[in-house]
Amino acid sequence: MIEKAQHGNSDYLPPRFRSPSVTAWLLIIGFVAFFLHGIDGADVSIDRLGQGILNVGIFAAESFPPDLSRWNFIAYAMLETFQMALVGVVFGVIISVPFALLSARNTSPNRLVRWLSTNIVATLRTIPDLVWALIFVVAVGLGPLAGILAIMMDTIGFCGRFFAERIEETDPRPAQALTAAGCSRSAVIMASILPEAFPSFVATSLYSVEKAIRSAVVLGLVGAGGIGVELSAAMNLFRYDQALTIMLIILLVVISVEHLSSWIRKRLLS
Amino acid sequence: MIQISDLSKVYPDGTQALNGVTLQVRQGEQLVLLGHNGCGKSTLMKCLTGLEKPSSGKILLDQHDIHQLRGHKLRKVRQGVGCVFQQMNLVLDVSVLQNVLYGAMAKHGFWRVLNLTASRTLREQALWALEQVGLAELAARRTDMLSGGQQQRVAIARMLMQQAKIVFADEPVASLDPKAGREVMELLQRIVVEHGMTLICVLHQLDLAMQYGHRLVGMKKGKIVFDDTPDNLPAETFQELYHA
Repeated sequence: MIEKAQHGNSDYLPPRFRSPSVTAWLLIIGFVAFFLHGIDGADVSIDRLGQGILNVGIFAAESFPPDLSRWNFIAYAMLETFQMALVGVVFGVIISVPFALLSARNTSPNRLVRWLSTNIVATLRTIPDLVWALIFVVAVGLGPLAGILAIMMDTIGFCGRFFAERIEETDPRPAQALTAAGCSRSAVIMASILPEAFPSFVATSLYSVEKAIRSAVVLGLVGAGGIGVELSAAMNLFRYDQALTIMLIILLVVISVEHLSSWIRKRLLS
Repeated sequence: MIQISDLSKVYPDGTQALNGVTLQVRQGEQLVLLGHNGCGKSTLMKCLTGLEKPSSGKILLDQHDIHQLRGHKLRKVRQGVGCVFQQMNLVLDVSVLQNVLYGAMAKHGFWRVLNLTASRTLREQALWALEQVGLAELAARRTDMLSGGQQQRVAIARMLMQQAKIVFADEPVASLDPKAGREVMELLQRIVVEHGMTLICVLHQLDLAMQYGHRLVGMKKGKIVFDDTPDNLPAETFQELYHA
């Protein structure tokens, strides 16, 4: 009796592996075929990879020692990049808040407004920052303004979504208490929802700054100002020693900002 | 003061939470609602505060039909109604003083009750409310640093700041230990009596109900099964309410 109970009825024992459905098999086969076609299209070969490693070696050899003669121009360009990222993110974050309030289920006035706002934010997020930069270079000309506007649009797409999600996660009970006490809808949002969501807003905004600095470097390559212009020029003129100086400065700034924002986030969320 | 007439509530899933509840509560009366979980007490409280819309029936608060009012008029009536909830429902990320100041928000608006911009008079009123509940020294502390009993006291101070005439307390001591629960009920009763407020309170503790209620109302399956003073209710009534 005990032995039977210890072993149980094997009829009810679930199988270790359940064969996927036909749809799942089709999806798996489709994915594998797509993946292999991708490798084939990239023309991957041992020869090419070997040559690539050799070229990187040549680049490394030619870039050492880094040329520091133009350090003041490079530092100024880096400062411009940093400012571009910061200004773009600040404006982006400010504009994201109303978008997030209109997109969140618990704060949006009605379904139509919510649908509209959510889709605007999704559209802004879908368009890559490089495409925004190309559009704004055409619209406002070369320089940091195009970069700032591109980063702003990208930040609205990013923060608008995450802010809205955080707003939806807030505890509804404080808002309910203030509503029951006769407070207006806007006052309830300001007094109970935003204070709870605020630390998360700051953490997301700091991520945006990190992301924007990396973006701002690339945006310079299409003429949207900043250190990307310097990097592009150095590479085109085969001044790899100058290019290395620029890369090292970028690395230093990006890592410093990441450490700083991580420290602020930790303090804020604890 | 509070007139509930033939109130019914059926939820979309078909659950009948309230079934023809009729009740009249006079000014200054302290009424305790009793009944096991799911008998409709909390739904009744939600309907009273206007957070839940009844399927039929009417609720008059100071002659105003709360479910017919909209916008500014509804907010105006709600200003006179203080709520104390089981989970306190405070804004935990701000200071204790700020939570009490929020009690005056319906009257003064958000910017005038913000600790940064509020007038000295309002700040002093909030501190007075905290003194009444014995927490003035914790005014600057973040609310989430307080114990459950202290948070419930802050909720009572917020209600005082609101200058409410009617208080709805939905299981205010359910999440507190017996000692803290008794202290909170003591405080709530003292404040209600001192300020001539009307109280409707949901409780599960019979001893507290007998001590603090002028009138006990028992509910079962969405209906009122008894309504009398504690002295007139024999012990069997409560046994029937909870065990039958």
